Amino acid sequence: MSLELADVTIRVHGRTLIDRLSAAVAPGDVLAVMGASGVGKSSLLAWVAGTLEAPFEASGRLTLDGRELTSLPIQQRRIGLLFQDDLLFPHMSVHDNLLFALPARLGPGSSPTPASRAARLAAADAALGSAGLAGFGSRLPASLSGGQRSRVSLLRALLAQPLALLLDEPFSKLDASLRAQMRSFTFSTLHERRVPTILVTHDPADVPAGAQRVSLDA
Amino acid sequence: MRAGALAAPALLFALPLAAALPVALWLGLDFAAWRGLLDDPQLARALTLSVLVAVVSSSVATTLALWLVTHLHGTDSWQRLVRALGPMLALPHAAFAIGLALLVMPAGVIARLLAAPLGWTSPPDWPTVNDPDGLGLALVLVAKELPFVLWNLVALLARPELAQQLRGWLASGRTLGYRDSAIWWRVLWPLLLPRLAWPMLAVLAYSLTVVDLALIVGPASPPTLAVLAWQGLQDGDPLRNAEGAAAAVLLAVVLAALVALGGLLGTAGAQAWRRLSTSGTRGRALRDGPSAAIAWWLVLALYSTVATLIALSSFAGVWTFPAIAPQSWSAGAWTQVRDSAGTVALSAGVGTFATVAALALVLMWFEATPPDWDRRVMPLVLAPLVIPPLLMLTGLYALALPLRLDGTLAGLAWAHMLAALPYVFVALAPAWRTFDVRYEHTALALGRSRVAFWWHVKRPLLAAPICAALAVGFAVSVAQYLPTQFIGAGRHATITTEAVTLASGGQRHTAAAFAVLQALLPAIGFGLAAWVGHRRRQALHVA
Repeated sequence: MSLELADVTIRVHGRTLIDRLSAAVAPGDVLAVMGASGVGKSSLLAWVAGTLEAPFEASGRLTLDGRELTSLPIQQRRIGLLFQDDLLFPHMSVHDNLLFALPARLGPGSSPTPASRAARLAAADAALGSAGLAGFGSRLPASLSGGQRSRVSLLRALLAQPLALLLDEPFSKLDASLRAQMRSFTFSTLHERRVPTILVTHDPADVPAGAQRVSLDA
Repeated sequence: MRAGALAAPALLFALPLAAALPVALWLGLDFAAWRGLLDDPQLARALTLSVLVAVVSSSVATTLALWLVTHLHGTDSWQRLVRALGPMLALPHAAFAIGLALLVMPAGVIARLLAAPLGWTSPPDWPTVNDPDGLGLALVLVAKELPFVLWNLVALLARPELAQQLRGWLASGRTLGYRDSAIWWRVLWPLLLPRLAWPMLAVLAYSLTVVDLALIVGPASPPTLAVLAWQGLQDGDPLRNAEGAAAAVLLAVVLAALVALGGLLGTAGAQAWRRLSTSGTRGRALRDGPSAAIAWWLVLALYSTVATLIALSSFAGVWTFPAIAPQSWSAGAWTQVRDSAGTVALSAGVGTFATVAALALVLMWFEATPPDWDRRVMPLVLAPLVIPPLLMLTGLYALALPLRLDGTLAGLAWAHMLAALPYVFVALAPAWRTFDVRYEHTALALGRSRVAFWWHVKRPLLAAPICAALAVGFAVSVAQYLPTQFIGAGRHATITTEAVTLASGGQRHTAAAFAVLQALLPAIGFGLAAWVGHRRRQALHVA
């Protein structure tokens, strides 16, 4: 699954933020979009996600393995989103946050079958176990540490089985030791699952080795 | 989708309000009616009384509120003040007026307490209730509008961006050698007061046009202009009816003139204030004393006493002057209330329906429009608060007639919904409009529908402000007098119409029982809202 952006231009109030940007992100690869504040990094992510609204104007094409996504609404794009804040739903337990994302039908390939709640819970627990969070399912987000919440947030995004993932400065609110840990966990997981990823950051240390880099200028 | 969601608020709220005003003005432009009104010997006195009561009470309430905030903001008393505002606002105006009358009337508790030391055997000749100069009415308005102005100030000062700036401005002023109170009066209030234009206008409009309070504690002969208009509008004689409509138009004209005059005085005052503020003097080097805290305790004591007196009086049997406590107790008033169970049920039913409908319309608006559209529609949303209700209701009644809504329960609920909606809107907007849109983007990116996001995420997270807005709307509906009488065409009695009728007829014990109920219904609503809010907070903050 390769994510491709072609001739993307974004303007706001007559000012061009991004001018005819083209890039392709292969499965498991990372495209790092860098630049100072206000150059349009987050606007680019919003355009890819399908959430860019007025006063921004955009043109260009977005395809995923040749499938045209440009005019699809956000919920049909199957592109996951992670922000600076974990945005776990605070009134839901960790389990419920994960089940909210997990599709009702589970199974391999193109023939998933309806899954029972027990099966879906088992899938959520397996995901938690893979992230070192076994036994945390019944906890509320407020009872988790920052690093634990970030991991649950990533798991939630992945359980929705996205075909690509967008990361908007996802490590910027973590302290130094957690940042390194989360970077490693996030990019190894994404590489393993072969999810093409666009990362927006102003910190070069966030960019994994081997990532493509695009630098936006003011 | 967006247009569909906006159709209901437009048809049920915006269009009727927009149409009611020109219709009312048209009905009020009757030459014979104006001649009759201007020939009425009561008019000059009624007009003067109304203007004086409105200007004095709204000025005093606003000044008192500013003074309290100046001296209490940032002190230990501030949070106590903020917490007390909810219950004070929940006490309906009519119930408060009935209770205050029991306190200050010639045969009231204060006179009874003074009777023994002063040797009185009969009530003194105090001009405190139904007095010809409207002092009692002004007192009730000051006491009841004070928490409303404070509530608006608290909401303004609690805005995160302003709270931070405020700390900076106070710190800057202190380093320049000014006391906090001097900084408030010279810098902060001139800066903040323009943002309070709507609430201050609402207070002035209410004070000028109120009918139910004026019927309970206001002057009787002549009454205020609003009561004069109301009497005309209720009359079976078409000419008197038209005179009432003309008086309602006159009230609107007077309000507009007062607003224009206030604007001119405000501009002139601002220049004088600027000279004073930049004179370089630092004011007296006195510490800000505890007088504001004491004044606030007195206000709280007044509310507590009024609430206690209503309850006490509803069980009073024989209570001759100058006895401090009733000589006998009776459940007679409550027996009458029990016999009027239908009235209670109607109040609760109409209040619930009107509030839920108002909430539905407000949510449709919020979900279909971006936040900056709120500013554009605010004049229309707040119209029921600032346009004299008599004028608005004259127009709405004329619109209800061809639709055969007059005298029907549907019409009554619709009229209450129109009154409740602005409060629901204002109560809910801050929480709804600042809800982090990234939650929605996250949920949609997870492949879930907007409906699933709304039901599973947004609704539960905003349950507390939704319940608070419902409680506010319900309290507003329960307290409605004019819409019930007007659109209900006098066919439906609610707790409030009963309380006002009984109180203005001198049946104080039964009126007190209805006043207790009038206060109790909204209190239950606010209690439920507080309970939901508490549970949600508990659910979100795990130790």
